[in-house]
Amino acid sequence: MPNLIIQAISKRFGQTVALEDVSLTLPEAKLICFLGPSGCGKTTLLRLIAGLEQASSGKIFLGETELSAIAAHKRNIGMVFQSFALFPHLNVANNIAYGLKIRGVDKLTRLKRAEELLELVQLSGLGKRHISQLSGGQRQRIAMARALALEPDLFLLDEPLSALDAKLREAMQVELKLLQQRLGITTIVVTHDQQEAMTMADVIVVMGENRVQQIGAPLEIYHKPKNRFVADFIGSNNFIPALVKDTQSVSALGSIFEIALPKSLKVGAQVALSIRPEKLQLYSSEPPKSSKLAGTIKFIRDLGSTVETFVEVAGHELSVKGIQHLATGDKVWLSFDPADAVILEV
Amino acid sequence: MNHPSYGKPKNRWPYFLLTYPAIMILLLFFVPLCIMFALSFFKRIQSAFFEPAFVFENYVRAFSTFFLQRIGVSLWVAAVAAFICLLIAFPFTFFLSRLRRSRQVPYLVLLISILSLSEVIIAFSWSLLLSKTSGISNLLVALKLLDAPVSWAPGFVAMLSALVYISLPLAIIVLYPSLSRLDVSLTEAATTLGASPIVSFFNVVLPNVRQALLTTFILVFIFVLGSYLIPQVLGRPEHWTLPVHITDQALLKSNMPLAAALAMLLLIASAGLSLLTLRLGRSQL
Amino acid sequence: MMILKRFFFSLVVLYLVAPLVIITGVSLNAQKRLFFPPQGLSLRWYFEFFSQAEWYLPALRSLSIAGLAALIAMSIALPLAYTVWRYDIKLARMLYFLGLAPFALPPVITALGALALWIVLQSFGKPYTVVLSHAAFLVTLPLATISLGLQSMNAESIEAATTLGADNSTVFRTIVFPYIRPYMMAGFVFAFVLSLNEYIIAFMVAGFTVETLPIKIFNSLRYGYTPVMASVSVIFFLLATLLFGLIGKFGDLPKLLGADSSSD
Repeated sequence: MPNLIIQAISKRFGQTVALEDVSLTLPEAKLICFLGPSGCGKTTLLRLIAGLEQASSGKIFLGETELSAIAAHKRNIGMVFQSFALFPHLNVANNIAYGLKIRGVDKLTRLKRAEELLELVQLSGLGKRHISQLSGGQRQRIAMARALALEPDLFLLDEPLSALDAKLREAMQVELKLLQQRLGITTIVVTHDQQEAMTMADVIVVMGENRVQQIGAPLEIYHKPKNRFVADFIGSNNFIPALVKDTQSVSALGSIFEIALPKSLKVGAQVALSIRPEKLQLYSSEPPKSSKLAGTIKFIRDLGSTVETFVEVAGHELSVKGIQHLATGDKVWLSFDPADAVILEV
Repeated sequence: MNHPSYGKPKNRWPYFLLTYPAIMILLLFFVPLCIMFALSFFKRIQSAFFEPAFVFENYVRAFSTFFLQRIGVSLWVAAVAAFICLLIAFPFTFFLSRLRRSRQVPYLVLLISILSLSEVIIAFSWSLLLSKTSGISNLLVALKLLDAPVSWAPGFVAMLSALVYISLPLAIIVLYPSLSRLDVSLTEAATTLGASPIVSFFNVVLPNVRQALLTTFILVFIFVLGSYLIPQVLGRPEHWTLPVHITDQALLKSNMPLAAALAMLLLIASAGLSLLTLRLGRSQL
Repeated sequence: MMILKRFFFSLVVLYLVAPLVIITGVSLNAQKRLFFPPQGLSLRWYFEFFSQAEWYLPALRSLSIAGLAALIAMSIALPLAYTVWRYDIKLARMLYFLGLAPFALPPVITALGALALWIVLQSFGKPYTVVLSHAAFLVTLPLATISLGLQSMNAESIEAATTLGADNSTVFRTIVFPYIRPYMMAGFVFAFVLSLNEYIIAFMVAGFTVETLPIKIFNSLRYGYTPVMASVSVIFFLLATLLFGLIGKFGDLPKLLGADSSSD
């Protein structure tokens, strides 16, 4: 199975721009998540791949084949819709076998294949059930079974788990990932839930403001966000305004920090130093370190497994996650390992 | 339903509120139907309208060969018109409901404007459309498809065209809710599974709105059954529907009891069909 | 496929507008003949409509009948729709059903019933009989639109008003009424336009004494065509389009006609 190549795709609905010049190469046989806030164009991109929308400009290739030149119903794609879109007038088995029936496969083979797929999604024996008799989780599995019945080249899922409750959603994330690994089919999941993306994805495509912000492995995206949007959207982050002093240090909130800087930055440039709350160390007495920040505790949030402390440093509020128990109003010091910080252009 | 504090009333105020609607509806709609029912057993007298009695002769006449044939023609005309109407309305409404909301509005305005247009006006405009002097045959002559303009009215086809025309907006508006509520992703799912638009129309859209289609058919059927002016203007006397004969008996022949008996038959047929649509609507839930 | 779809769609739209085009063309004829395409353009048939008593009197009559009938229909529908929505009363549900019934029956039945009623009450041929019979016939429309409005109301907003100290009548005045006002307007417009165009009931109850515009047109249709008929028809159509167009512009027409409110 070849790579999926998206080439300079733009999509406009009337005056509104949904996607602006998106180019991507997605690896085969992997689980890819399109992650982004609502309205960022991720669903539109998925629908363009499925052929349910026509791009305003640009092309989509699956290996050598130009996918965007093929009618939607001839693309051999399996898609799971947000509403599941199960056909209410057909029973479970006939829903799964719908694509086979269209292709003129005989009834016996169809039913056999439907039973195989029911087994795959662990719902054996439900073939005769009516759609209205299924629970949300069961509908979700049937929708996947139906999409997989034709052994598609691409498996597309549009917010597939958003209709399920939290517990079930987490279980399904693991299950979907295992299923994908077993079948080895190129799979794209659209989601706005970063935890879902981190759990399942081999590759995450972070989308925002109608374009691709960053593409990479989940941990790479988490630890090395390329820009402020990604750093802000993925996990929580502290942004400290800073000034480039020389090629390897910045000044922020009255202290100097030695940090590896991108070469493109000029001395004197305004930047943001971003640091995750769990990477900040909190001290109740002044630590013997050259680079540190002094502040006062404003608020403490005890979450049971962790404690989040909000510290005010020179008029800036920083969040720290750890397990120290201090009191509001205490004077504290903060420090961090420069390797954990990321310098972002503003 | 979305009821805030729905329940039995705690005081008499709601009943007081109901007095006026009750009087109006009962007096102006229910009582007349009762009078009509009584009237259908009355005797006709020459000098006045009617005389109280309890005879079955009106129903005997209503079931005579002549009126049975009239009823047969009415039912036939209504069935044919409703069928053609549905054949056009179903795909049209489907396409309409798939347009963007803002683009649907002008078509909806056009449709309800035509729907509200007097049957007189529609009969008149169709008589013009099919006439020799101002009709489409002139257009066909101009396009060299016809040698000389002709008149196509009155006739069965002329009447049918106008009946389909007048009931088409009704059919579209009745079908519109169920088609526009049909989940778009159903047809999209069919597409990703390899169904061409035509295939998905027949094996996804059609089976999911079968009930709505039947309901629409019955409503249009009743609507055409009640048409009064179009058959007179565009049809020949042998095509006249029951309402024409009822009016004829009531006003021109001054035979109210017979008119009432015929109206009762029409009432029973339409009410029966209407209740059937209600039943269908309920079983759909 | 796309082309086929467009072609079919346009064909149906053409079928829908063709008679309207012809009638507009004919109304613009310069001569007293019904020609299409018109021979010479003129608005004289429109002026004739507004200047000849035999035309504008029936029009005024129809307008006043429609206005009064729609008002009465609304006055019947509002308390009924409200009680059905708010209270569990059997009588209210029965009346509601009866109120919807006239539209499920061929109008000739209502017409004959009305004729029988006015004969019995010895009011046959009086102008007000048309108004009252139209009101009873058209009550379905405001009843349906107001009920739709009430059902689409958020119950919590009423509960919120109650917790803020509003009693039933205050809730109605300050919350319910303002919310359903557009639905009432729509119901009024529907009833008004339909009454304006109604023929058979008006003809049956007072056809020989109160000549409404549709009756006038039909009489001319039988006893001598004139292009004024065409101009009247065009005016009628434009009036309906204007009124429904206003609903379409300021209200949610797709929702009013039953489309789901959420999409798009």
